[in-house]
Amino acid sequence: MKECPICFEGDQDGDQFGCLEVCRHEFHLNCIREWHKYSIDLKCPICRTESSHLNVGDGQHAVSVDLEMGFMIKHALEHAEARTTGGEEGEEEEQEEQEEEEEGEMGTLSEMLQDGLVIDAIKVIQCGICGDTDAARLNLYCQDCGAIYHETCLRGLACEVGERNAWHECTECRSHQLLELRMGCVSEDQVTSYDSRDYMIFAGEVRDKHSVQTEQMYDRIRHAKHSIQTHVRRALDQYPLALPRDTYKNINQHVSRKLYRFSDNKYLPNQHDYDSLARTAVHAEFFPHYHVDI
Amino acid sequence: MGPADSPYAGGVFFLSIHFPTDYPFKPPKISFTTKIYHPNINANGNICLDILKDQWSPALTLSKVLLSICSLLTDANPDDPLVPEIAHIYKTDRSKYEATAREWTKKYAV
Repeated sequence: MKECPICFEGDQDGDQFGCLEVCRHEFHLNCIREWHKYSIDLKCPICRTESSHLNVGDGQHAVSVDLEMGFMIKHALEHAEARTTGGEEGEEEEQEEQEEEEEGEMGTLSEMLQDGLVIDAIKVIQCGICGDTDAARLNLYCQDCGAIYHETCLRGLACEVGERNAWHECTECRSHQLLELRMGCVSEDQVTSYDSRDYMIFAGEVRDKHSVQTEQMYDRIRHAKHSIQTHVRRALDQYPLALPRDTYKNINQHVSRKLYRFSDNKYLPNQHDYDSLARTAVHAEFFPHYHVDI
Repeated sequence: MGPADSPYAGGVFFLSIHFPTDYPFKPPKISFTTKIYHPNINANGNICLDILKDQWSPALTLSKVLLSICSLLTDANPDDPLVPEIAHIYKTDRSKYEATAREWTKKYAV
């Protein structure tokens, strides 16, 4: 009987095994993936040989999971985390800055997906089952947890477990809220050449991540968000009640995002009176029934 | 037990082993509770050993880790010391190091 070298359990519970591509050492899929959340590299826990792919299943249903991609995401998230939790003083400022950048660069996926159903900015898109990053064929995402899938992978998996008709379910969170993923206005061949290491999709356009234009775009976004936030803070500071720090922060974030979206991701002081918009929106936060058209 | 071919022979060394909640993905926290004279173990009993830090692997078992600690007692690693003073003596005057280590073993571990 097979035994997972990490947890010492076998396959009695139907736990799936995966096999590292280079050294062929086998682990529970869940165990080795969990380990990669902690590890500093992709070396095999047994022999320390590095593998970039993990092979799962065999025959027709074999898939090769791209470990490097997941590892890259982990590093990106850790980097973001390290920045947001760096020091109590000025934390708020830093977090906002982080968010500004984040939303331009990758954003929290689920959050962005909740509103628009159109992806504006994604750093990494990858099928939750096969791990592939071929953006053109990824066509479903989970509204609850943000996982992205190939419809074919979900259907294939459902067949494999003998529930052919129950494929419409997120494998991460079991939600049935799977919706169609649209790629904005990116043309088909732009998407097929999309490689998240070099390119990103922002506002429906594929952009070279390292170009000067992209840098300038980040600067514009940062500036727009910063300016809008100034108005929101002013509105909050003028609010007649003293607000706890957390509430202040949450409302500030929430309202700023609303206004930012409202003015089409730009700062347009000549077209909008941000001060009064901010006041109204802040008010609406406290009195949700008070209807505002933002 | 201190390894036979080391100045710690004859000593009984106690260790404290703490398993974090996310073990085996995080290494166990192991420290000596018996005082020991060694370049890679400090006065608090903390052990400087790569596999207990960044070289940890979830496929390592406690017996493998204890074996590594035993071999650390036989072959210290003075190039990555936790106590530089002891490492210096280890490198420059090996017999003095061995004498002191034996003395400490007799005093604290027998």
